[in-house]
Amino acid sequence: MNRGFSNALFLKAVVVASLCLVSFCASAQEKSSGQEKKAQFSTPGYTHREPSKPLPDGGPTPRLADGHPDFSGVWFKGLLGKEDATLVGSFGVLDPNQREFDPKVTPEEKPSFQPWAAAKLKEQQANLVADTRDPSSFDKLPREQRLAALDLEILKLSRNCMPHGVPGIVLNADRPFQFVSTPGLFVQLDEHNHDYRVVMIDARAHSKEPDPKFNGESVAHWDGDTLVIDTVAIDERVWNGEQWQFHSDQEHVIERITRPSLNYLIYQVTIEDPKVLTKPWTSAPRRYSLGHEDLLEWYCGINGHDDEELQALKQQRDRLQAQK
Amino acid sequence: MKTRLTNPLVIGAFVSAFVFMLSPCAIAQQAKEQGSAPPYAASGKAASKALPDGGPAPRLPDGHPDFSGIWFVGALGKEDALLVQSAATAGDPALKPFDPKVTPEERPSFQPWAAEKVKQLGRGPARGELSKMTKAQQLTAVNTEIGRLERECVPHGVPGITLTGAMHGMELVETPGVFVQLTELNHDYRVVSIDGRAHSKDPDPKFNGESVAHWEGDTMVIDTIGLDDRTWNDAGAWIHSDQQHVVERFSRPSRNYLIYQVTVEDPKVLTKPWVSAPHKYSLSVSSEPLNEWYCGINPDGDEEVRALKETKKRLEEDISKELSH
Repeated sequence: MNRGFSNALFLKAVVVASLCLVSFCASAQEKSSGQEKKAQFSTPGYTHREPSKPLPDGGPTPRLADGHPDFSGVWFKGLLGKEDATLVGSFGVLDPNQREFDPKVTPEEKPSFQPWAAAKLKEQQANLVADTRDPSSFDKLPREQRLAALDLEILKLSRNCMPHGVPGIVLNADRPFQFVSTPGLFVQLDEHNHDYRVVMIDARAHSKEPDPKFNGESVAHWDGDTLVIDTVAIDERVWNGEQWQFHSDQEHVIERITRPSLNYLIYQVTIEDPKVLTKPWTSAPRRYSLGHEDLLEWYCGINGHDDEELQALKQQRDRLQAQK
Repeated sequence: MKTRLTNPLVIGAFVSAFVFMLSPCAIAQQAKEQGSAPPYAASGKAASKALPDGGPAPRLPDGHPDFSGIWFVGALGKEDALLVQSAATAGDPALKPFDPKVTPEERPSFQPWAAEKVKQLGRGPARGELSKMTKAQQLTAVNTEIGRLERECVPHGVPGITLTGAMHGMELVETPGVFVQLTELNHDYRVVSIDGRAHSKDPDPKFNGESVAHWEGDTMVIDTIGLDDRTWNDAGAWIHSDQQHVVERFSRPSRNYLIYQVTVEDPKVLTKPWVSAPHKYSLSVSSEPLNEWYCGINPDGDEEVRALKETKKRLEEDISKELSH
């Protein structure tokens, strides 16, 4: 329990902390602490810190009885083999060694959306910036925009327990995950939302017409020391990312996982979606490092407070709708 | 996806069924239905056949039994969609975790205060009972059901993850030193390290507690404390205290069978430790994975709770009107 948070309460704390970060008082506070010179990073709690040190490679890749790489272990984003509690919820202001990739070394293109999809995303982003919690600015917005912003906020909140699906279960895993490999089987356990998926590596082919599932239908094979997971039939409610909030029933995801050494895991994903993208998108190779602590328990949907917040927003929307 | 049902829709269906039961027209209808036989007897099925033992238990490279596989309650290696929800209490004996005639299982022996509370929180009235109730009794039943529905996404914890959580199948994955249990119901999991570590001095409570594990011959023994007292040990509202201590014993006597036995000590709630019968699970006969059954993603679930709360309000108003007359 080094990371020391326990389940739902922690979630609440992070939410409160992040709200505080975006609020006026917090931004004022940040400015004043930012005036202290020689800060390594612009994040609270990061002044006067020693630069972090990436893990060594740790020796050769462990292998299973069948000779294939064994991915078993608890994996953290970046190169440190752990998470830094002071940084949780700080909106991507990360120690560079906690990033999954360095865009200067391995740049990652943005997904190339079809015009209709790009327009839809742009609209969503515009609504996202409207702060429903700040009446002084929110009430000045045109009614239609306020409604759209409330709808989006409601959607986001009511999605708290929505599974991340594939590839979100990796790309959007804000917290560490655990892999368990046995010959013929690959299991991913996520701390975030206490989610899991199981993939069989047994050369089975895709079904002719698989039912949609959050984690889709996955088949897997080894390409040398790389595990290749091929997934179709992904439930359309899944978001690939905060900036990529929809995909079609035609989405096809190909994930490639390797473990070049004991301490490191590399994950790369390609997404094809002919109804939404103009061309396939391939991620940068993302780096994860081996930790030595157990996953925490982080269950979703057991905290009544979230529900109350949701109800309050719905009432706000209904009142607005009733106004002429 | 041939045999079983898909995720949150199922929950929705059960919930709707309950709400329907409570409506006045349903109460009238139920009165008529009471004479009909339970679905299993009516299906005209031939008796089911238990799986053979299937040969010796597979072993890990370290020599210990390998529990990996998808397991179903009983001896058939599958779940029967016709029997979902009724398997535990009625229906095919081959779908029961144990035969009470061969290995009887005592009920937990609750302290008086706990027995009262368990009764209060426990199962709502049986089908058809509601129509015979007074308004005040109906109100109690509705309250119980609201409480149960609001618990739907609360993890089952230990030993609930097996006693309740495995009702639609569980997958076990084992590597030397690590034991993983995944359940279809609520898409839950737990991870136990089998590495000889001892319990912490003062572990934080967790839904799955703090587990340590070791081998006793071919039996894996999991010892768990630090259990969050919001969990119920079984579907019948078996509440527990922060003093609960759970010892689970897993063995795989042959390829097709898994035996699970659990002892629960809880000096604040029970008058003596409870020891389960050896519960039987059988290896899936299909190569299908577990279904996806996520909890808490269906806003309809919430709406059902709200609908029940409205029923509750109506009953309360009726009762206060009757009292004022």
